Amino acid sequence: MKDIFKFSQQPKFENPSLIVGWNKDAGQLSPRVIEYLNKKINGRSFCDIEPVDFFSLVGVAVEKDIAQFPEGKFYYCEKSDLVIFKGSEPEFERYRFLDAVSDLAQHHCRIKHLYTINSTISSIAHTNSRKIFAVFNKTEFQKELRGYDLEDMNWQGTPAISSYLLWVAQRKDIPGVSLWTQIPFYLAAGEDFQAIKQTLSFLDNRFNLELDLKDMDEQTQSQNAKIDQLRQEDTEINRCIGALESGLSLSEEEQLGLIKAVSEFLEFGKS
Amino acid sequence: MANLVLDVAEKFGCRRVYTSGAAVTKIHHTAKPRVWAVPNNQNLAKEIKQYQNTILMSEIEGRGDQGAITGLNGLLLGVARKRGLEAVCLMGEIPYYLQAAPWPYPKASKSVLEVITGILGLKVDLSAMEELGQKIEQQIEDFLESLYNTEAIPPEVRDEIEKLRYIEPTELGPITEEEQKKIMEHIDELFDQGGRTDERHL
Repeated sequence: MKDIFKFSQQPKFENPSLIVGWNKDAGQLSPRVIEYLNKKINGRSFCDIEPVDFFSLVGVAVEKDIAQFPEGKFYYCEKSDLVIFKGSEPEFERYRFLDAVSDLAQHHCRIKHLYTINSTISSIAHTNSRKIFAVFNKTEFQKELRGYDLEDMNWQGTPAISSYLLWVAQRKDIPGVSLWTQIPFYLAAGEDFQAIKQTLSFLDNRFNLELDLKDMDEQTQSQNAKIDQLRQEDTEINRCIGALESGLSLSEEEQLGLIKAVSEFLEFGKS
Repeated sequence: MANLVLDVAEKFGCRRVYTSGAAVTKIHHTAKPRVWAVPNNQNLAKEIKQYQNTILMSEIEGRGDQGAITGLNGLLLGVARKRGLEAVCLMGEIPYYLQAAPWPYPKASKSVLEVITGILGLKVDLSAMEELGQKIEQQIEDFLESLYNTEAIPPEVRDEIEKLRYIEPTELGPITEEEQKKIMEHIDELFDQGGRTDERHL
């Protein structure tokens, strides 16, 4: 474990919860929630994961003009008693990576609960409210979180990294929940501020963080106003979004058309 | 290795890291190579926009704003980013049909040096490099001409290379990936077969 972690500080932990987010996620939900939270609660980095064993280091990727580098960083906020992990998904040795993250959380930080943050792409309109689906690894923890407006989730398929971590945590007897906030499929390539706010609101309620989320509301309103403008200019787009608002489904061609029109109009991918 | 290099750099109080390399692209050997710049943070990207003859990935035709930098040139940017150090990779354009050529391409090196000396406010005499660049350009001209004359390069491949001669860098769209592949196959083959002779020629 010593080889994997590089500690920069040794904070004293009370009995924290761990919130895990990943650098890439549809609608930028996971990274934005973590970044926003870290900023608002003043999370301070205390440990890095060395990338050598988990990522290809033959060079670097360039995204949006900037050289990227895999990261895995732990932060701690004493006031809120929260440990936050933000990382890139490992390319190799996923089990060893997740085992290390959960080991550090359990034995070094002595966490009581684990929360993972992700989005789930849904066939909903941007004007619809966002549901947060939840997958638990312990029924007692599921009972504890009743009343937080979380929806049960059923899924069969290849596990995402968060589901894998939830399973690893279960084997270590760490109660955990994987949170999946809905985002409209046509906002997946950009940012879904409403979904980000919804997730932050859950964390705010759960941990009494007293977050001021007005700026998130403003960003949501601004984005919605732009999409309204697009709807006024393009009757076909208006019809497609209207159908989604009425709970109707769209054909593949209509979906692709909507994604393209919204992405171009909102200039997703341009920083 | 990247960590060791930066350990020493930090001991000397370095605040910014520059790396340099080649950017293989659709450019003619008679054109002035531009410099592709990849920074490791957003603030540097703003600064780079002010440099002359320098472009960001998003400004390169048909490339989007993505790519990859292999080797230490790229890795140093990433490791520097992790340490909170500024870093930028400056890559001089070289013609893709010369990427396997066994000779240097000073025009690209000169373009990178012009940018880096400009940033650092250094006065460096680049006239020798200019001279060498002109000499090699002429030798490439002669070499290609001899290949065209002996039809070692098929006429359609020659036409595609020559098309680049009259196109500004910002207009380098017409050659398709397929055409590029065809040119590369022939040129690489020629360098493989006659590498030693070519080396003497130049």
